[in-house]
Amino acid sequence: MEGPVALAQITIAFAGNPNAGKTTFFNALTGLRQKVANYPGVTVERKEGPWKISERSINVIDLPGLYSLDATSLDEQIASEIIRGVNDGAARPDAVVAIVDATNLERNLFLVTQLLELDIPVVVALTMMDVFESQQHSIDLLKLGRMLGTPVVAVHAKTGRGVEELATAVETALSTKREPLLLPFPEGDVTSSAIFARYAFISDVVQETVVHGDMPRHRLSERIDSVLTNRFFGLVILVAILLLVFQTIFTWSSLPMDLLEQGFGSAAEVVRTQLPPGILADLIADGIIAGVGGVVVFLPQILLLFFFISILEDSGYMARAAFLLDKLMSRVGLHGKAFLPLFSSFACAIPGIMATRTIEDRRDRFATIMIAPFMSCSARLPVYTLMIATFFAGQSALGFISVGALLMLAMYALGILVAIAAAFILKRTLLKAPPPPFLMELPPYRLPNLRNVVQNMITRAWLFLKRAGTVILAISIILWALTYFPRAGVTEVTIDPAATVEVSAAPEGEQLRQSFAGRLGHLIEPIIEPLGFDWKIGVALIASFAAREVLVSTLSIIYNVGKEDEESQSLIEAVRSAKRDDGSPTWTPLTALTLMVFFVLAMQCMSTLAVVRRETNSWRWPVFMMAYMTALAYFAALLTYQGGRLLGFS
Amino acid sequence: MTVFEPELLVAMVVVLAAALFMAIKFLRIIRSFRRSSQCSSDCGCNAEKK
Repeated sequence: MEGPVALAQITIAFAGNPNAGKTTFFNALTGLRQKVANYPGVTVERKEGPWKISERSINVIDLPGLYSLDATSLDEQIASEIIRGVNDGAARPDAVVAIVDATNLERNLFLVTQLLELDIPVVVALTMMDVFESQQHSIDLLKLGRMLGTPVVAVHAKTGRGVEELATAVETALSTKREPLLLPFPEGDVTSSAIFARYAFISDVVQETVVHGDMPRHRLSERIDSVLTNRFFGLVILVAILLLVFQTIFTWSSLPMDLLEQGFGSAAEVVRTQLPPGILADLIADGIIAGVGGVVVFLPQILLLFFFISILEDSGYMARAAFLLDKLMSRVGLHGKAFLPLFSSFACAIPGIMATRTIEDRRDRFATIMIAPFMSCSARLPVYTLMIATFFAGQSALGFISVGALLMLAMYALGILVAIAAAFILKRTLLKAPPPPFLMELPPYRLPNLRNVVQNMITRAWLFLKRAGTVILAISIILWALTYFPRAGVTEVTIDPAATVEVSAAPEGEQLRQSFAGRLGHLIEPIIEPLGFDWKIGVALIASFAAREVLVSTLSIIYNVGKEDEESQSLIEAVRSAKRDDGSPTWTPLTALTLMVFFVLAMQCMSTLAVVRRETNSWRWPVFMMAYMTALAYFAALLTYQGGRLLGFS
Repeated sequence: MTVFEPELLVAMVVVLAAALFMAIKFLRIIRSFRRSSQCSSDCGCNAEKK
């Protein structure tokens, strides 16, 4: 690139990280004269337009955003190929203008250092300088240019600041030979050590050239990070925060939950007193109110869970938790980008699975999809809470930690650990591939935005109530019908004599026992008996394969239908007092724990399977997911129950 | 001839409506499968295709 070049034939490319202000600046320079087309054979957009330099027009290409030249997504790959001159459909530009976001200097300079290693003229254009300067920071542009070995210009698309200087810098860069940047590691090495070496150089450059106006705040943030992202203390703090969250959820939600439960109980009583005894009163009280009410009483817990999640997310702490777990995830071969989809799955696996689209490699993406349903979603919360409230309420460990909160944390942790183990196996067998390097940016700490928090809570509450009012309502009605028909009196003659004796020994269960649901429960009883579950739990388990929280509705319906007297009792009391055919209690703390373990691991969501089918475009994956998760849940529950019994628990 | 009591009739209608609702929901899921199968498995994401 020696000697002056005729500007009319010149093409320069704008390259930079996504959201660095590249396209805004490109639009400001080229205005409405730009052309938009696709790169040959792909759907990646190609934007180019003329830019006048010294009364002559040069061609400018706005490349797709990229974080590094070792790109993996299609957009990034095209940009990288064009810069390196290896793209079949587009010629190599004569120079590159690296658009750098001044507020994210370290991350943006990563790409710049890679560009400077190539034999191509590079000019650095710093955007977002107004924001950078408003934060009282300042930068020595000349020194930065000297250290990088290329001109650096501060630009502003709106005011036109620096456009003239940039034009001059581009002209100069085109006519002078620049020595490629030499960093102390092998060229093209994308391993972690190369990344760290590159960042070490960038860190030196930034330290030498940038003066932070809010250094005390910056230092404080770094000090907090050194504790929160510490391998040991970070994990201890994470566990303590989650324990506190769960304990608070239990404490704060108990009063509104009691009120809701009383409200639904009173509603059932009103129906019973106002309507004549019969099928309609039974349907409304035992089917609709018990079924839907059984789930809706958990609304305060759902609201509180999302209140805390939003606060942790908004304050910037969640990114630190992600950073801590990322180390563990990358060790088992999961992509760093898997954290966000997995984290979303704590609310619901469906958006989590859809969020895996950001993972470029198909095998990394499928591995994340396959483990996402292990994250304890909000539909599991009513099941965990019912079991904890019934058998472990009021108990504490070490005098101050609630056993309920500990158990809840244990269920979330079990899901995460099994997911990591499953990913470890999948990434070494069916989905074998090396994990690509991933950079994580820690956002600054800030006070949570109350509006965001409330908005998030309202959204989740609406989704929960919508689901309760549609799917849960419909399933509750169907289940009630399955427990109500055929009527005991009608079919009594068809029951064999031995069973009739048994029936009369337990009159409360007579109707349930010979109902459609009861027969189904009895059919699967031999399979679930080793887990400590009776046929009534079996009915609830089958129903919960449509949606997890249906277990609570089903138990509510079953224990209400099963009662001879018409007085409704709370679900917790009903579960506590439920008896097996031999008079022994159906539920024990061990049965409750076993059921919770089963629910952590089992694939009990039709909608999730549908999304997996859509996202993997194959029946193989949802069938595999259903099979391996259910088998795992069964054996883990078996181990819990039988192991617990061997250890002397009942 | 079987005589249905009005109460029983109302209950049956409610149960059938619930069953119909779930059947439609299930059919929608099946239909969404069919739509997605038009897309190549290599594309990685159906919705992001322009």
